[in-house]
Amino acid sequence: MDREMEIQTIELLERCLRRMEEGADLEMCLREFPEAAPLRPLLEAALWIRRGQEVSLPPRALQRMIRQGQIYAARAKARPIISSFIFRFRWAGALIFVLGLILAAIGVVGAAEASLPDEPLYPVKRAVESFFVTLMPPEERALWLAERRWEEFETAATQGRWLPVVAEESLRHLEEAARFKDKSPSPRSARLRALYERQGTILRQALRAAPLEFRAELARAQQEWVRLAQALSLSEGEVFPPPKEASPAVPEPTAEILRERARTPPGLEKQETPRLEHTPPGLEKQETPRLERTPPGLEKKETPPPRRSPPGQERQPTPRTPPGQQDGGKGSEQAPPKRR
Amino acid sequence: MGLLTPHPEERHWIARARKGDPEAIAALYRHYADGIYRYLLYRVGDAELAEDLTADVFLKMIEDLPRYEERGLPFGAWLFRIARARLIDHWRRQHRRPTVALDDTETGPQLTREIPEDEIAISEMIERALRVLTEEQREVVVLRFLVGMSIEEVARAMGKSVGAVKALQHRALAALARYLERIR
Repeated sequence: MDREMEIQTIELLERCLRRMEEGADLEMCLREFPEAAPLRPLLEAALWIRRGQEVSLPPRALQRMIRQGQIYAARAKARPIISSFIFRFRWAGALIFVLGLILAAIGVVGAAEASLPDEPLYPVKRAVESFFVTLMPPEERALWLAERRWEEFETAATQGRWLPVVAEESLRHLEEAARFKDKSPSPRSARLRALYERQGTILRQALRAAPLEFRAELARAQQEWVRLAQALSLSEGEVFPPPKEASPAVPEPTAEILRERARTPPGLEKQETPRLEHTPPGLEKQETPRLERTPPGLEKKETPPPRRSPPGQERQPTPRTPPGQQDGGKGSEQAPPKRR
Repeated sequence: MGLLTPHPEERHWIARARKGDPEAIAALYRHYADGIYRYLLYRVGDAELAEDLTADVFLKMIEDLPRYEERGLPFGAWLFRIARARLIDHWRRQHRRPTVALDDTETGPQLTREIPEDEIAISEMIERALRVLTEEQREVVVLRFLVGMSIEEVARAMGKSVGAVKALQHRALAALARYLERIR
């Protein structure tokens, strides 16, 4: 009840104040609103405080301000056109700057895509890769990484740069990819097989073509490749259906050329590092190591039985053939073990 | 004339002032300077400081005039917004709070003595009276009765509801009535 009364009083006061603003004096207002009589002191206070409107800016101060404003406006008008243009289009400038940044970022990512492990942009490539990998299904992820690493190894090899670590990383990813079993032959299993065969071929060539200091590591990668075949034999028929036709496990024309290059005198190895030519696509099938041709029991002799060499002896068991005694590469090659 | 009462020539002045026309700039000053000055004077309680702040407000007006677009916001309201921002900026810079508000029932020692109206200037008299109000009540009274805004304009300027402003106005006038009763 009190609250309602208070609201009514507040509204009545406002009505009287408006009436007085319209020109009515206090007495006239109270005659119009007799119920507002108790509000007389408040209305008088409002009239009294309105006397403050009589106060105005001293004329001298106003003139000084006007002069100051006119000078300020004249200076603003005289501001160089270029700066006012920049001021007006500052948002456009900011937008262009942001777009430029985005384009630069795209350019860097694009350039990084073609980079190799020993190049400055390679970390960018790996960072972008790690993002895309999170979007892939697990069975695709490892195979994709294996293919990419192998591509890097091959590209580097054709430039005369030998990166056995990258080859081993590719093999590790391939092993991981093979853990996902396809129920029937699928494009994925075909890719797995193609990559595995290509790795074998290229590793054989690389072992013959690479300078001596890289061969130990490449041989170790080749052993990993052989071991991988043993591990994958469990999934035979799913991931690696047995090849139908055999092909010679050795020399292809490319390897012969590379072998010739590898005979470079020791002092010149760095400058004239042999480059691994890309194997023509049509030849890949023929170069694939065919398990049927592997003599029974050979893998026991040439392939070290444990998965990893004992610590401290990792580099020793590497089969190494002097460049001049390779005999067509047969001596240094390790064929994958015959599958069950 | 209230601060927000537009002059019939106002649009014309604004258009010319944008191009730097000195006469149009002077016209805008003459029409709005008193209202802005009064607002600042009764908020800071210092005539000299109020003059300086008024000058700043108008320089800011000239600077921002090219970006002023009339979209439902009258020029006077836009100018008042600049004045309020300048005032807040001043308080922040001075690390000073506005006058300490007194409770409606409380009276300070300086308010108990009688102050003859004819001995002090009106502005000083009103400044003293405003000290009995809380900060919000003071803002309402200055905007409503000294600047000349309507109750709706005050509510918009303070970001409050019309009902809340009416209630503040009622309490403020009651406090002023008690103050006037006391000094008479």
